[in-house]
Amino acid sequence: MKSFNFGKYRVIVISIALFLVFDLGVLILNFYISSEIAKDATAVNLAGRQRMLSQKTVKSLLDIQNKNFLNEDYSAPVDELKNTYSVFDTTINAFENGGNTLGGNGSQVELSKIEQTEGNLILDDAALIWGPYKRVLSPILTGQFSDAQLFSAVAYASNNNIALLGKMNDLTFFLEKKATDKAKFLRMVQVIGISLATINFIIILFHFIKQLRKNDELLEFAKNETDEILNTVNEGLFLLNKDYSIGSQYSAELENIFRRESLENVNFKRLLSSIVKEKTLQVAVDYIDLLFGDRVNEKLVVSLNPLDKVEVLFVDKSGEFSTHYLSFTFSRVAGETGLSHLLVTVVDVTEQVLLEKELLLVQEKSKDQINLLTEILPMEPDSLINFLNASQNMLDKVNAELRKSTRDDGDYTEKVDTIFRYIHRLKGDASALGFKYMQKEAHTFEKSLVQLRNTPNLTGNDFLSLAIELEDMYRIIESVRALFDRLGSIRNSVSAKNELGQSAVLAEKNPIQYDWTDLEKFTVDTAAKHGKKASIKLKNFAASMPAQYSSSIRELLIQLIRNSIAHGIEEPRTRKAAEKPEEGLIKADLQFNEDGSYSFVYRDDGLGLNPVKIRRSAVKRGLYSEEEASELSEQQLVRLLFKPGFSTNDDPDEDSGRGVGMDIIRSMVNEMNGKLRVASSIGKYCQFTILIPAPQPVQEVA
Amino acid sequence: MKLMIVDDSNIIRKKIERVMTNEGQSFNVVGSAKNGKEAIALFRQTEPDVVTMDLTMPEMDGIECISQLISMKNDTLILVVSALSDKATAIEALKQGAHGFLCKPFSDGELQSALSELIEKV
Repeated sequence: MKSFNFGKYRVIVISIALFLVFDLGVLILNFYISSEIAKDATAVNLAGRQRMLSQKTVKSLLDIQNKNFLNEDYSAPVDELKNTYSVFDTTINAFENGGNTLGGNGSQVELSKIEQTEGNLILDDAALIWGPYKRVLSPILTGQFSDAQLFSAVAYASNNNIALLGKMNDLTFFLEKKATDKAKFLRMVQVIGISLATINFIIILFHFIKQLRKNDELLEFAKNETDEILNTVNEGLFLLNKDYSIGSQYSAELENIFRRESLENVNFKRLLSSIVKEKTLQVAVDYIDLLFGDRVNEKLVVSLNPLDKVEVLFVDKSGEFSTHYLSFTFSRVAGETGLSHLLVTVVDVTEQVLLEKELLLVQEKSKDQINLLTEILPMEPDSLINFLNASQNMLDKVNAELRKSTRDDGDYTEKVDTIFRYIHRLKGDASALGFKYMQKEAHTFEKSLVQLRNTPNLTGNDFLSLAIELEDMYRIIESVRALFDRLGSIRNSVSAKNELGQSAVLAEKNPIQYDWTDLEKFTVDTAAKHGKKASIKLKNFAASMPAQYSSSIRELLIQLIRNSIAHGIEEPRTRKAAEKPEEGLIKADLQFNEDGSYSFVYRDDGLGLNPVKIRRSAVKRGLYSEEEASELSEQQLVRLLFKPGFSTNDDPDEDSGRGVGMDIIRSMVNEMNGKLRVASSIGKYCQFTILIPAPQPVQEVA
Repeated sequence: MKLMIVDDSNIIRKKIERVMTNEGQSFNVVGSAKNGKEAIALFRQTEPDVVTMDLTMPEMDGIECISQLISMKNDTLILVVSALSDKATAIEALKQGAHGFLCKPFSDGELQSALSELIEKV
């Protein structure tokens, strides 16, 4: 309970107290004077009766005289006289001294002594008459009287009756006047009392009206202020009742945010259900219910607000959908009887969210750039430039292939295979260089190609998406070049400033020079990626190999290494069980012949070609029936291996399984007009021998 | 105030214990459990006033554990300490009877102020 603030209501309390005092005073006085007036009325009545009694006395006396004269029985008039005498005497005594007398209805009535001089004078005069009257009457009252006694009584009565009657008349008038005076006084008191009460009332009324007007003004002011705030505030603001209805006072912005008018009493749950997902709504209702309850700590659940940043869907009048993001906050509002409402604010944060997303994209992009930078930084500049040139070349070829007009389905399939070969080569190069970013991009491209390969009845439109991916790869090469140039210029300027006199490393070297030792690392890394161990021994791979070949041979070598590790070299445990060293060994030997031709021998000590496995794959891929497959010669099986899209691995990864590795090897050898031979022994080795004729000094790669 | 810690991560349990046993704390760590089942047993034994509760735990998860603890002693103060990845689960835990939520990861100060906020407003 709040302590009562008396000050504010002081005027009212005093007014009411005054009102009560006036009223009570008037009432008490009224009661007192009224009872006085009632007594006076009795007195007036009895005084009037005295007049009648004096007449009656005379009449009784005359009656007795008459009966006495006629010698009749006069006992009845005597008794009447006795009564009259007694009442008159008692009454006049009561007037004089105060006391009881017989009332008009036969009961005893108390009369108060008349105090006023005027009244006493009248009573004294009356006593002067009544005294002797009583004396002459006393023998008559006994009934035993002489005629003389009767005569003297009658004579006295006749002489004094008028005077006594007059005195009683005077007494009546006196008492009447007294009563009238009191009544006048009473009226005056009443008028004064009522006037005071009325004045008091008017004061109260005036005060009240003034107070009310002041309060109204304050309320009006407050309301105007609230309205102004609610109309100008940029947020949606409203009070949510426990029954989920929206209160009558809400900000104008709320209607803009929810895109609807008159939200008063609208059910918030229903409003939400039309714009958010059902699951979001359920969680939101749970959360709001928790806030309406008294158990959870408001501060400790703020972070759980499921409408903190919520995606909403609005449908406009023309039926168009638009996605927005709203941010709601809820705060408990405590009334006098505990929690009564939640104050809800809503802000449309769509722009902010979109900006954040954009920022995230930009960040991602710059992160990509940084990744790109950190990837290319440790690379051998020559290798990188060679890679970029080779990649550009291959992408150009892919581009040309995409543009080439094609007529029938078979051509489309061939187109996919050709593109696949280039991209797979590019991926292998990237992998060898440790350029993961490009490797990933090429892998994605390959996935699209696999999809095309599995699409029946290809059309030109199916290739459109490839153009976009191709564009992406071109862009990467562009940005690497740009980065590389910038790095070069930084390096140059630093060198220049240091005045070391050394020109940039890049410029001096022959651009087509390979550091073959990086393939040793590539072998170890690729093997590790497959949970295997392997190393490579390179023989006669001189840095000064003819430019026409070095890039092709390098690519060949990369494809062969990937193929060995994916299919040939066994896992360390398997190798150990077969009494082989845990680490697989690859040997590559390059021989330069006198006629200018080259022979390139590549050999791994892995599983060798397994005819059973190749046959099974051929059947599985629907190339042959089981019967046909079992009849295939070893030579035919080897040829099968070089068919586009053929693989013995069912689970493609970045190094194998797309059935393209062998196909590439074959096509590369073809490009160099070379010859390819395969020799193998199950469980022991697999060897590729490649013969390349003398270079013809016409074209140059890149 | 007797405090019980429920979390399947040893690191989190140790952290809460370390922060809340510092001097000047109105808490007395009476035990820690690594899943809901252990928590129920430990609760019977130590009768704590305040519990910090993880949600995803083996054996018995936080939500089930909260509803059992509340049915045993309904004025137990429970602070859910969990990652913010699933708001709906955390809200479910509050519906079952928890009083507040602290998001993982948290700093020493955040933990202290969350627990004092929890016991201040009962």
